[in-house]
Amino acid sequence: MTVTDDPALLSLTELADGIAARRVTARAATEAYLARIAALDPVVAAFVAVDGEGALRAAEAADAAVARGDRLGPLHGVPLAHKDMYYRAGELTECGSRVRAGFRPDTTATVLKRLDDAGAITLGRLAMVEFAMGPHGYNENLRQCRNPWRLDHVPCGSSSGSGVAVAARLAAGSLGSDTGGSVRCPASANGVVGLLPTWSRVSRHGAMPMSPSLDSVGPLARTAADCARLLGVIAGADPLDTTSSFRAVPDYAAGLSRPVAGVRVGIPENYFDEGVGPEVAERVAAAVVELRGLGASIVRVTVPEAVQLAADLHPLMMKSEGAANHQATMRAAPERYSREVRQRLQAGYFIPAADYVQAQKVRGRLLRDFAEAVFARADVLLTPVLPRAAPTIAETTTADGPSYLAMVVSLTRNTKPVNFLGLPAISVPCGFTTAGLPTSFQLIGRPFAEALLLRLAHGYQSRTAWHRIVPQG
Amino acid sequence: MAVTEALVRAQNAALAQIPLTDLRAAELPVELNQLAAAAEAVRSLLQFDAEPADFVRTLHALAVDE
Repeated sequence: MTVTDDPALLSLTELADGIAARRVTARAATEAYLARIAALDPVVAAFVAVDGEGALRAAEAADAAVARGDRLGPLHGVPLAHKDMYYRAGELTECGSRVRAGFRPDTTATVLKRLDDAGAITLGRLAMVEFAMGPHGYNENLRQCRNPWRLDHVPCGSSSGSGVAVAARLAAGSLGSDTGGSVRCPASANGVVGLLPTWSRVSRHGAMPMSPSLDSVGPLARTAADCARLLGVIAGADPLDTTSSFRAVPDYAAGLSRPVAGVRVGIPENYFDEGVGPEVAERVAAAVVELRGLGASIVRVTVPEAVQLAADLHPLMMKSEGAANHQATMRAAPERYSREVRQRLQAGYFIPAADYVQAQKVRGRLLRDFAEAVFARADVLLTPVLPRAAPTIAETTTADGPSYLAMVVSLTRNTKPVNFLGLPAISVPCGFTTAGLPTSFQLIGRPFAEALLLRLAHGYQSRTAWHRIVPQG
Repeated sequence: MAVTEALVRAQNAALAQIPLTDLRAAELPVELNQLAAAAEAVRSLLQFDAEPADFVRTLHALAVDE
């Protein structure tokens, strides 16, 4: 365990192991996080609601279990907070919206149940883009969630509060959701690790649907080891989500220390390098050097047309499904949506059903084309996440027209085709721009190759210290 | 044949029935034609016997255990 007086500065795994070993109490950790929330959240606005009393009660129960010598779960006593779209029976879940203001579901999300069973403590609900529809992190229904590295910049989204809370050490880890980049983009913008699991790896029961064919639940945390522990808890088949995979869940944490030597890391020669700013390109290139230093083989890969086709079909599928979810409210009370989200939904009502079904039918073919071209040469593909550092708040709230749309589209250029192909990917921080904003690379793997992605990311973090730097705002 | 503002208005009146300003009715064809082009671009790749579960089968077929 790192020597520190502040449990909130420990990584999730350091804290969990420290609680289990009785080096730190759950109460001390929870108090430390609540103190940081009280001090910093008025500025960064990561939380929409904090349940300090409930968290402290849970912490005391966790400490009592330790004192009794109970069998402890892998997250015993660890304070977490999640995107405000995971249902807990009888408790508010408002999805960053006015439409769902006051909504209290009658079921609990499987992922929350699994985190509870693993011993985790919940600190509160986190900010998100309205109904998870947008990558920049702006939500006119909430206080302005701010990037803790530069307060005049957005945190990206849609899991904006998750990225900010983890980066600012307001929670040890968080669940986000990723339909086109909503875990990886805020992870990148805030300098934390974000994992998009293979589609179907994690149950979506009790998670707000955005576009069910594309949605994945994924963790954000400071390290790959933290994400491995969270994924190990939440992954696996769920009878309440019949789309969830029955494939066995590996011991992700146990595989982290396996060597990286010989793993083939593909560097794309097209698509993913387009529009990337020089500072991001430079930091990502330096990360490649580090991976080579670990013994990875670096190979150049030409990605197939399937990537562009997937990127172009992604909004067709997402908008069709999103429109279907919201049609009743869009007709009855359109004023309860923000203008931006209302406009994002509108196109979905005019997409021919045949085009939507054909997008579904061609998905397997595009995935096979991608795999044949990429995974024949490489075990993983390494790309930038965001092509540039996070934009300013002003760029996302006052700009309009073609340049604004181009900026928004560019944020998810490198992430959304991965969702369409259903592949796992991880966002790993790899430095800072001269303006002090984080940059990250993305590793894309074969289906269900989360263990390899986590191992590579862990190896990289064992040689670098970007994840240990705390934002000073 | 392209999506036009008139087509959006007619389809909305008959089917979608969502509130739509004149400005948005005029803007939407740009986005809808991009989406139509995306669908058209994969038409030649479609296989009659492929149904949506093909994607999930492919995910599992391509998986490799560590």
